[in-house]
Amino acid sequence: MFKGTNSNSIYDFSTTDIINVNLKFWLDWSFLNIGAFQNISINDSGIYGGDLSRLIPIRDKYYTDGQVWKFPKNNLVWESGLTYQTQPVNISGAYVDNSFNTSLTVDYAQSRIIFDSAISTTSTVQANYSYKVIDIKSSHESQFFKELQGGSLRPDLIDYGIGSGEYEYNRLQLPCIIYETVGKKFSKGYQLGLGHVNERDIIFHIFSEDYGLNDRLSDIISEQQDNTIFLFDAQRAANSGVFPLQYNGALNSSAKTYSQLIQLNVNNGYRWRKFDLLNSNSQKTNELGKNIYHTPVRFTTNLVLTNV
Amino acid sequence: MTPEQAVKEEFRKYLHSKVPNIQNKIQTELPKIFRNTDIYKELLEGILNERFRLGKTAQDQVEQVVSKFSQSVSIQYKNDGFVINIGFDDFQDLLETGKDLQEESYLDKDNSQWLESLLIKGDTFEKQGSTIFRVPPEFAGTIDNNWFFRTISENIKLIEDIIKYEVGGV
Repeated sequence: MFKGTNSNSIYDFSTTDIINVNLKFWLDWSFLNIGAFQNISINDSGIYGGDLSRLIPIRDKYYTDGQVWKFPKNNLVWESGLTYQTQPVNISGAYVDNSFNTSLTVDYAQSRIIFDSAISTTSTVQANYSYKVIDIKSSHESQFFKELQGGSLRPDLIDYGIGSGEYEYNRLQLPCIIYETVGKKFSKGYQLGLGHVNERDIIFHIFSEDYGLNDRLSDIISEQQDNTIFLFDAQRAANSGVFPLQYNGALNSSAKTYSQLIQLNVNNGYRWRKFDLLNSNSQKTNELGKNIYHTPVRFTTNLVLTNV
Repeated sequence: MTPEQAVKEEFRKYLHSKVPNIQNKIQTELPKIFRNTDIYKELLEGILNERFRLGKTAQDQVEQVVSKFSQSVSIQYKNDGFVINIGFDDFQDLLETGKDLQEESYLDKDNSQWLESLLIKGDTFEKQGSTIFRVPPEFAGTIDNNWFFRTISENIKLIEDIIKYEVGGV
């Protein structure tokens, strides 16, 4: 039999999976709590004009034309209960030609609305919503990063959405932080016979179109040196149905935020283990082309695995 | 001078006299240690060889760099202890060596700074012609944490053993 914390089934979350899920939750939650979200109200325009509240119809082979409408921004905020002075908007419906419609599902995962029945694709569809200003993804999830890493991305052809009125479907939304777990992992003993310390490097890649913003974000990230965060047991949370999004991207009625998930069991949480962020190394900012700046911040991390 | 001070002085002289042998032994052993690292192997015929387009000249180039680095390591006996000094403060000399070697080998000029990429560029992406490139993260290094420093610190026990052997302790 295998030993290890997550070896009941090959389909269970591995230790690396749990770290990846937690980093996304932790970063999203932490940035939201310092105001890294934007509330959009009906008819709000962006810096370059346009209407940030207006959705566009898109084709999806599983739905009838006119059912699926895309928000102009990705990363809709589903979280609530922030400690920040303003709160994000809860999406309760959409205006179709100025008439409020609640017969729909919000697909938070893909930033779109799916109407229960198709409406005319020439309708004007608008909604109040909030989006996360910083797009946070693991390196496995980001097509942009995969291409960048694979050397197949041409710097002069990087396509990303800026300004309002730009629909960022399948495009890079900046600023973004892409975190990458470095392949090599080391294990060393922890308190004779009581488990081991799983040590690995994690790189946070910051991309933005503003050199100063890269500096600010890399400061925030690198100042997490010596921070210890709690991880939640993603497998147990998934089995209990408290993960925020359902298979269709809709918000789960029992969804828990990062701060709720890391609570102790007795407080209905799913706390797993502590995760140490050590030896932060913020590196040089480079211009990749077309005003995209990149700053890597590398950490060594420690995860103590006991009773394995 | 008290007898105790005299013994101490003699002992210090004895340890000082061992410095050349210790240094010589370490400089001889270091290339063997480097040859056992993943990076060395990848430079010769793995992903780093491919990324840096080093081709068949890799062994000569890498050996020269490793040799130059190993020769730069010196030992001092100071304040009742042995101190290991690495001769390249900012790696500039070593990086120049890499460039010279590259020119000698008539390889792709786009990649004349492979050693710099490996030792100090860290996790940054670099433009190379029309594509973007970076050193794979498991091998990337910065000025104070790179292949050379990591190899030395991971093998510090071996260096200690050389010192112990030479001074006659073990």
